[in-house]
Amino acid sequence: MNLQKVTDAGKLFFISESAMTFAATMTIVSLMTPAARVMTRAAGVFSFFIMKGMVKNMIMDKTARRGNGVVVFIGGAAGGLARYGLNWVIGDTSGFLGTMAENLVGSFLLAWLTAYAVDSDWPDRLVLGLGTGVLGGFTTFSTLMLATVSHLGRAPLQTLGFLLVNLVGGLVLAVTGYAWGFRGTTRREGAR
Amino acid sequence: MIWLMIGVGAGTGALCRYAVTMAGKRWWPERPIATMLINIAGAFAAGLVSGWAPLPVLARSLLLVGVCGGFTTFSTFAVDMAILLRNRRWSWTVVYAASSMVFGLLAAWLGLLLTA
Repeated sequence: MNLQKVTDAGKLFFISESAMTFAATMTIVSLMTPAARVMTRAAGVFSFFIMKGMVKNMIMDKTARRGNGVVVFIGGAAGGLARYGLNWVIGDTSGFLGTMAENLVGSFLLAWLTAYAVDSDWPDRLVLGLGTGVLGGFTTFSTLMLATVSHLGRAPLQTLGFLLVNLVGGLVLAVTGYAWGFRGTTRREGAR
Repeated sequence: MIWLMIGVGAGTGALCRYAVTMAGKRWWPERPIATMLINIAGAFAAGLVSGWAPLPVLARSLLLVGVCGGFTTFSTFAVDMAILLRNRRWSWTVVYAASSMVFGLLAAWLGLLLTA
């Protein structure tokens, strides 16, 4: 996979779409609540940055490719559903066990994919959909933070241990996945 | 219905994350600052949504499990750390991991506090 190509590849229409969707969702939501001011302001600041990047990118790269956004959307939806499905199967309301499993597995797979795809002949969009889409949507940082904050008062040691397992385990698995991915590439080249 | 909500939410979240990551690659090349900001912002949003009691269950699933879950990512965070380590950028690795965690926790707590 040519990383440069992906980096510079069509950045545009989907950025505007996602920014609008996000801003619209936040605005509608904020109108219905007393916390309106905070939400609206956050959405405003957020969309300002998105718009800024959008305009900049539009000027710099006119050959926008809508397909990338579609691929990321579908991948993200699949990843999110898989995450919800796993939590549902595990039946753990606190979110500790499911989140940990998802984050550890996802870290390993994304590291492997990142390393493997650099030299492989996998299509760029497939790698984008699987990596940024599916694996990015499958793992979650917000639930991890939320679970940690909401349980810190009740069981501080266990909660910190959980956080540490996520952090250290994720890092170790990412390093392992990276090494495995590169070994895969070397083997492929050897076979050629 | 809840599955549809979560699918659409997670897709939207992932799309937003991709957009911010793309912008981040232009603004801070070689530095995973965009992922850090995404995770902190997502944690704050998750705190807001989670602490906000009158929200209907379906909307909560859409925003919390869907959008926030799809927007934030742990796998990219872990891979970023691995890449920083591989490139022997020790101080960046520590700063990245520590600030993501600390500010993420603070943001989630602040979000809960604001709506509680």
